Amino acid sequence: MADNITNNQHMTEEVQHSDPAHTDPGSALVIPDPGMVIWTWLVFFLVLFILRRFAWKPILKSLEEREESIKNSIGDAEEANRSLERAMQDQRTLIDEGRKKAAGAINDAGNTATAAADELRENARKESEKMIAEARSEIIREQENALAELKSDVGDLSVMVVSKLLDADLDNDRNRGLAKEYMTALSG
Amino acid sequence: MSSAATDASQAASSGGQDVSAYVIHHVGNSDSWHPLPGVGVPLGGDFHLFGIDLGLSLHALMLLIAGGIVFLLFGILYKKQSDRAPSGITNMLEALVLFVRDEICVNYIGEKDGKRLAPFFLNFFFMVLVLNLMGLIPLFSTATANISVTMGLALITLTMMIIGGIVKNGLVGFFQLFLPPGVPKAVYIILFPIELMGLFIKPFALTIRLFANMLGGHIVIFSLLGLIISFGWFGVPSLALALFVFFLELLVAFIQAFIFTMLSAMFVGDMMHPSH
Repeated sequence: MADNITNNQHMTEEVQHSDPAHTDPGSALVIPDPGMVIWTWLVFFLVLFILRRFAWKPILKSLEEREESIKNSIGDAEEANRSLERAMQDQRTLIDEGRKKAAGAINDAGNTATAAADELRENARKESEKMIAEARSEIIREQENALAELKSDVGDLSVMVVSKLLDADLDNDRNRGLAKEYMTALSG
Repeated sequence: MSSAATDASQAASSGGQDVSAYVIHHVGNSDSWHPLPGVGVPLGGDFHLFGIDLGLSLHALMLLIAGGIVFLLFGILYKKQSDRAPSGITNMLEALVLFVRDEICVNYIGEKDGKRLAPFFLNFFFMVLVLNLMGLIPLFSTATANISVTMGLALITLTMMIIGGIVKNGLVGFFQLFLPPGVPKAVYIILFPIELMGLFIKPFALTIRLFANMLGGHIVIFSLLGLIISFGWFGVPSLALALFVFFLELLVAFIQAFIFTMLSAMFVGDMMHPSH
């Protein structure tokens, strides 16, 4: 009992200081205490200024630098990739052109060969035709020569026969000419 | 506060009243730190400046410890490895830093200003995260479950909103932010006060959101554990539920840190580069 009275006296004393926290302990939780607010500001700004100088700024700066270097190296890699692609493309075009030229050259060679062969054949044909024509005309000339000789021989022979038959001398030219005339009229 | 604690320890079997006192004692601010059961470290105490009690309280100590941990993480444990891919703690921290910088700062404030203000929001994110996570360790207490702490942080956001708005838009332009275009002039009479209220309601919502999430989670955990005080051995199965809520609180710690930072960035970005 005595304890209770002392406690009550304590409580009334504290109430006289108009401190709601001791009459109703629960409300102390929702009543702001200016001292704590100031403590909060103190600690927050203390930590902020110390860390800003020793931690936040250097860390953020090194993160920035790393991002920059990553971006740069990615850019460089892309540039290298592109130039490699271009070089490959050039190489491919060159190979294609080379192949085309080779095919063209082969084609041309073939064409030239065929053309030459045709020409040779043509020439040979013309040569042979010429030779055949010449031979033919030669044959005809020879024929005519032979015929003329034969005609003169026959003329001579017939004169001899007739002279034998007639026992006359028909050796002179006038008679020979006459005999030839008769020959021609008979044969022709 | 200390009288409530002694009440809880004296009347061990009186049920409800003591459980509430036990819960409130564990989630609220106090003048002494109990790192281990039975070990009490009385802190600074009565240091008054201009009538404001600036003594070192439990949550103030938590703030200082959190600052120390963040400094430890980034000043000492973070080993700069600029010539190869990061690994270990550096990797984890860098992932978080990049996330805050790209998805939160640059996304809501723009490329140039976002990168310039990144240290602020990084500080917000890591301080709130570390404070939230510390609250889950029995050695410490949740400073962000204290409305004064969250209010302090939200007031910083408000200051940044106002200063950012004035610097980027000029003093006249700052007030023009509350007069959105495309609205008939007569409506401005109602619209201007509403927009002005909106300026103050946003940080207020930040305060309440972080405070209520943290406080609520811890009250639930301690209430469930308080069932053991009330019912003795029959209350032990509540441990399972308390464990589940504890893991939920872990998730909420990360989410709330992210949300606080993201909304702060969004509000500041709206003031500096109005989208309408």
